[in-house]
Amino acid sequence: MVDPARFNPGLSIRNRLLLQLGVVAFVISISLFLLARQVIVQAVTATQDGLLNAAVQSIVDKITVIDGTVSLDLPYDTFSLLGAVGEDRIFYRIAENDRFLTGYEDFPYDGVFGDLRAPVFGNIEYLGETFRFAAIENILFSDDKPQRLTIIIAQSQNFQASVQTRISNNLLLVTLAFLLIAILVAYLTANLTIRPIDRFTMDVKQRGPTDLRKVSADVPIELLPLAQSLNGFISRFRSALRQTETFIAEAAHHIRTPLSVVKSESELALRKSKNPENREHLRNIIQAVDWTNRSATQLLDHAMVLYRIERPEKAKLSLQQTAGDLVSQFQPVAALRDLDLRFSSDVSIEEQVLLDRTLLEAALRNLLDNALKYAKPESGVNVSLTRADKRFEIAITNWVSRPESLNPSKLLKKFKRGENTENIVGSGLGLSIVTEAAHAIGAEFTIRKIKRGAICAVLSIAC
Amino acid sequence: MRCLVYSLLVICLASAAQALTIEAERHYGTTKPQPDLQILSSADIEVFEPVLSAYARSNSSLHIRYVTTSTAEIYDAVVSSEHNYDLILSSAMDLQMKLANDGFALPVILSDREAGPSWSHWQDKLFGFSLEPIGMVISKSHFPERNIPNNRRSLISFLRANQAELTGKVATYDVSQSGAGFLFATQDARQSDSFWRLAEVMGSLKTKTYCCSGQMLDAVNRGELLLAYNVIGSYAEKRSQHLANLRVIYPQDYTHMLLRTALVPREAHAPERARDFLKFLLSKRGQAFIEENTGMLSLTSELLIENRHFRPIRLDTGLLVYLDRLKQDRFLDEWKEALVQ
Repeated sequence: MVDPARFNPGLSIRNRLLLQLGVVAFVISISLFLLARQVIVQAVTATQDGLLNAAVQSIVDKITVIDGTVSLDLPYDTFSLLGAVGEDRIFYRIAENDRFLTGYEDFPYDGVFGDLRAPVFGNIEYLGETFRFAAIENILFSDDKPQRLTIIIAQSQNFQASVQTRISNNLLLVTLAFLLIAILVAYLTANLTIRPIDRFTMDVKQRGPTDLRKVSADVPIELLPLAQSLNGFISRFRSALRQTETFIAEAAHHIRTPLSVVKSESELALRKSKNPENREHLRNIIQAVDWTNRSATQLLDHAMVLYRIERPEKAKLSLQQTAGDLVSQFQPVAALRDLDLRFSSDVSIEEQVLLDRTLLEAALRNLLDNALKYAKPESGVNVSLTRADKRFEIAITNWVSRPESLNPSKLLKKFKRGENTENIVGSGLGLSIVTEAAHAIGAEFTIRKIKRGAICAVLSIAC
Repeated sequence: MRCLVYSLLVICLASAAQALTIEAERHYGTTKPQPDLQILSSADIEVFEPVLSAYARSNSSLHIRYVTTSTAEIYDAVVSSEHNYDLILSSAMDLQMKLANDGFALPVILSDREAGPSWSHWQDKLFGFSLEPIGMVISKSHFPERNIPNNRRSLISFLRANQAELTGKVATYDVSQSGAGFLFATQDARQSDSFWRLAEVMGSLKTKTYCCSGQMLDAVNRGELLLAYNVIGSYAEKRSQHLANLRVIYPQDYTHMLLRTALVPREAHAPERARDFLKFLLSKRGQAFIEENTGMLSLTSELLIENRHFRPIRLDTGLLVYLDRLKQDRFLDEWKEALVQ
């Protein structure tokens, strides 16, 4: 089995999804921002071109040719308007048949000129600044001779820049808001996507150590193969486990019968034997057979408990009656050891709980067996059934000879025994069976030392 | 406090180094071999004196040189780049606008509050700092209180009605010589259709033309002239305080307000000091000084609000139009045709 600690955990699916969605949202936001900005630039440029076009038209309207001389009445309001919006700089150049007429002679434009209906627009560098210009040519006739007038008017881009900056800033805020919302949605989406996996994980994780039921949570189609594989694995594991348990139970069963024979034969031989040495050997054999027999019985018990854990048969029963009956069954054993076994109850016989009787009895039987086995001779064993705060508590108290050597937490481990077990037949499985049976019926099992060498084992069962 | 170290009046003294006709020059603050701040201006020293003195008093370690010359000289000097001035103050809004538009001015970074009202500056290069109404002056002794024309239409009727008396006694700027006069006339022509009619009538009265407001005012005061059209209000107001014969009239149809403007030329040696002075001029204290002590109006003058016919000439690129050679020739031709009959 691979140690979980040796897994190399990569980026979680949630974070991977979040990262991918976040990157997509970021790319979309940036693209939208750039696209919208481009549209704004085009719109503002178109506005400026419209303004320059109107300016050129109004200048052309004011050109007259009188007696072969070109006369120009530059429109004041046009220039005022061009510079009014963004306090833009204005330059112009008017030439007649390529001869400079007025304006800025050094204005560096030698490109083509459009006509009145379709002026040529463009950007040009002049005096360290970028200007947007409109250039047209217009043919006037003077004495039937054509006069070619070229007009170029250029405007700096303060207005354009300020509008662009203003709108871009607003756009940036909108883009950021969009990005934030997109990331939030990505986060929610990632969580929603991961939820079935979480549920599946929890379903597997919350199982007890012996819970080998099939995984039945709703799993997304993508996880179905995993779930099926897992169920297949569980079922193979369960069947392997069952085979092992059956083998152990059968083995125990098959061992018990010959053991009984060995024991009775040994006892017979013991009675007949006169040789002290042989008698000692035979006594040892009988004791070993007892131990083995007991171990086999407990292994059978244990296998039965494990079997019932998987297939509990719940039924209503009275704790008072069950515990009382068991105590009665153990009275002869207690009497053999001179122990005073007492049962007290403050719960009425009518009060019932729903659980598997066999498991409960297995737990109680093992507890009583242990209590009587390890009790100090001529002491007592008290069994009490009480009701405390929605729980029934069955407490079994005995007095042991060396309580200081007892460590309750160690006692619950399989095949572990306490230190005061000399000459007492036992396998160390009893309290393990109690623990597993208690777990299967939803009860809590604790062992604690109380005063004057008393040990108290408590089985707490929900009402 | 040290101020006004010495003053020097040089009339028509041509400086060989700068090829600039200096009309007057005065120094303020601590004398140094090289002045800290040199201002070239078209505003008479007498008019501007209180502002300069006030600034020199609060900056006594500075040596300020204030030089006056005509607006055309100022324009030529800045365009030729052969000068060593740090701040240019001029009343020729159109020429100043052309300088700023053509890239001869340095940007001056002032906050919106420091720069004054939005209509009074252009970009961060040209800053208006005072207003002056353009009005007319008539001889108080010759004309009684009644029937005094208070708009251009009534002026035309008045001129026609008093043709005999007024012939040869009316004056205005020689627009071909004076930049300020040209600006006032072109703004009139733009503003009102009645301007050319007025010009025709003035032509029929053999109107005399002068280079400057001062000369016209003196002639009116002496009785040589009875009416002077388009004179600078601050000069007229100032002189009318001690010359008894001057009555200043601001036409009710519209009275143009001249915006005196300042710019820091590209070649300025001390643009920071120029900026500081400009900041002072535009500050509340500077504006209060202008309003109280110079006869000019501040940018936030209450007179502007009280007199709705006071209209500041717009400081925008429209001003470039009448500087166009063809447009200028055309205007001057028409002006001459109307006035010289």
